Amino acid sequence: MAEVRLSEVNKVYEGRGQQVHAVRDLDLVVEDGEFVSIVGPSGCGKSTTLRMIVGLEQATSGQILFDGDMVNDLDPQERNVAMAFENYALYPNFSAEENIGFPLEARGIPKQERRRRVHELAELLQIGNILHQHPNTLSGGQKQRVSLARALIREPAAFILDEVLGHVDGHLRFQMLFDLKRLHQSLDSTMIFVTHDQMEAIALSDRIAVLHQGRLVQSGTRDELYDTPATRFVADFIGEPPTNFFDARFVEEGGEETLRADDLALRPTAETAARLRSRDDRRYVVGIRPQNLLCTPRAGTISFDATIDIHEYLGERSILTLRRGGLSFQALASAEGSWAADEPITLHYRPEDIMVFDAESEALIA
Amino acid sequence: MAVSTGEGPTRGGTDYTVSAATIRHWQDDELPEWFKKKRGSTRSLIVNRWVPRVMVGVPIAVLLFIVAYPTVQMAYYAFHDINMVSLFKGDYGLIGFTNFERVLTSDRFHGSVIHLIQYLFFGAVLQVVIGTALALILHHCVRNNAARLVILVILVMPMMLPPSIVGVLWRFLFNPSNGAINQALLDIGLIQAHIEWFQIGVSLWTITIADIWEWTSLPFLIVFSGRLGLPPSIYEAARVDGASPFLTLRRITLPMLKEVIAIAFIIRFMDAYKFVDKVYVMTSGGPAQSSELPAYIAYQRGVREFEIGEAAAYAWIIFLFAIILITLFLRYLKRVLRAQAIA
Repeated sequence: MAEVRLSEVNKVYEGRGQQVHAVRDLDLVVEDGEFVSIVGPSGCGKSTTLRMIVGLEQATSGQILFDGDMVNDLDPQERNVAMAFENYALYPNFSAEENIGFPLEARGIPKQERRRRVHELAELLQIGNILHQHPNTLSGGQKQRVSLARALIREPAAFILDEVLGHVDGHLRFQMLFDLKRLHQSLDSTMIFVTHDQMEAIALSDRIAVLHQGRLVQSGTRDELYDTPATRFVADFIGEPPTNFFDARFVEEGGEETLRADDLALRPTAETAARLRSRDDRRYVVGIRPQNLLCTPRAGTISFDATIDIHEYLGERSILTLRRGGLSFQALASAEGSWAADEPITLHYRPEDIMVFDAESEALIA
Repeated sequence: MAVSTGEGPTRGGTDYTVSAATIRHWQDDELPEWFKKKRGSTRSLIVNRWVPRVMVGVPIAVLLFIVAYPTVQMAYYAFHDINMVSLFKGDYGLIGFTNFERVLTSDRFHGSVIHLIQYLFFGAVLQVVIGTALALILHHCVRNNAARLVILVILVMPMMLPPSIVGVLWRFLFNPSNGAINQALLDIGLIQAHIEWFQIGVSLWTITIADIWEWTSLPFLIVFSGRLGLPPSIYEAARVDGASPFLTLRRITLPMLKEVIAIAFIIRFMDAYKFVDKVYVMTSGGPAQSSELPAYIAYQRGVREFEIGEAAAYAWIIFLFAIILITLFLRYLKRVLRAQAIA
């Protein structure tokens, strides 16, 4: 196992006379034994980053270091990383057993030894009964397990998992999340996991790196990302349902400093207000998570009224889509309450849950 | 949050069976715009049930006329004592398997079978082997699409020439006294004296070389397109798994291409059975029948010497051998495909 360090890494694709700057000045450290997720929307450069770590793509500039050794010029064969692919990339002409054993075969390990290790690992992943089958006869979940097993069969510097749960559906996904977590704990290995689904990242990772348009926007634990998102994008991307945003002006009304969006006035904390006061800007983007819009008052909460538009029942909780004047936003409510469309509702929030972003740079101010 | 607007025709419940009663003509105003735009004409797609029958029936009738009828006629000839003389006299009798006996016991036929085997192994097989190697080398070494296309076109050029012209061309090139090949070999000092390219024991090799030159590009094309069809992600997986290029070739590329290579073999083997053109143009089977193949003898006996009965027997024997070989090939293909759960 090894520490993986990316330093000032850039990747520029050139083709047909145009350049695509896929990854910009990326600095990222994945410590030995750490589980790091790289998340971001499609086209943010996360797969490119991962392919550069594996060696399937050459970095245009910058350094990629494994335990301090630069590996930029090494082929994937020489880098000793294991990768599980989004589309499984199983060898169709091999049985599951041959697929899993292939990395060992490539290292010239004798057949008996290969067999033993494949069967051991198959027990762990509960795929012992499908070892003789060819990939075409396997279900998506089984293929994914075989593909994971092929990555896990050897002791690489790092495991790279590319959207491995992308094609796995609902129930199985939870099982696989659990399995991955358990594997990471028992192997104590460096794992880099790429996903567009922030839920998976939050469930699995020690640390999450958020990429947006080729740049690393923020990296940190899930609490850091959740509570102090560096930009509006992170606040929007992390958390489900996504954060509510309002274009607001910082004004003084009747002696109170408020953030006014249409006819909704949100009261910031004194600390935030002080920080906003010291700035020239008056225009901001205010964010508040649906989880922080409460239906029952608590200590220190401030309330406002709204009207229910849509009520989505999700079992243990409900998502309410609400309106107030020209604003539309969402709140999470308990499932027990009886919510009907077009009925009025009183919502409560704590001033410290309000996030304020710069309208231009979209960076977090407070 | 997506809210589905449940408009338009939907399938009711979970019943997905379609009975005749559920097939109905949608009125034009019931159909969405994008569908009408894509569909183009407003004419109904449902046709009279006789239309498909006629469309399939006509080619079947044509095939019956140009394939089945001559084959049966040929079988009839094969069992009759029929040649130019008896044909004109109009009296030819049923002679059973005499024609077949005559063919199978003749030294000429035995010789031609040995020639055919030699041609299959050093002509057809080499073509597929060289073609496969070229295809994989081109795919591996040339990454640029434009460069690939140029090389592809150059390599495929020989196949575009008429086979008989290729024969004439190579007869000139191989001309022992003033042919380009002898001259070239002399000039670079590989040989000291002219090689007699069309003597006994050499002429079939000469034909084989010309045939390889012309037809290697067919298996090359087939294998190249097959290689293009293999998913790149598998090769990335192999690289990450640490497989050397040779191991990748041996364990992944060749096994995955084996159906494609088998198809190339089938095509070249089929052609081998009817291989007449270059033999006719380059050596006329000579000298002393040393470069004759069965199909050439059938042609010689039937069209030149009007021994129609015997030629028909030749044709039938070739036909049966071809059927056996192709059946074996197809059975192999099916087994391979079934093992991979494709078919």
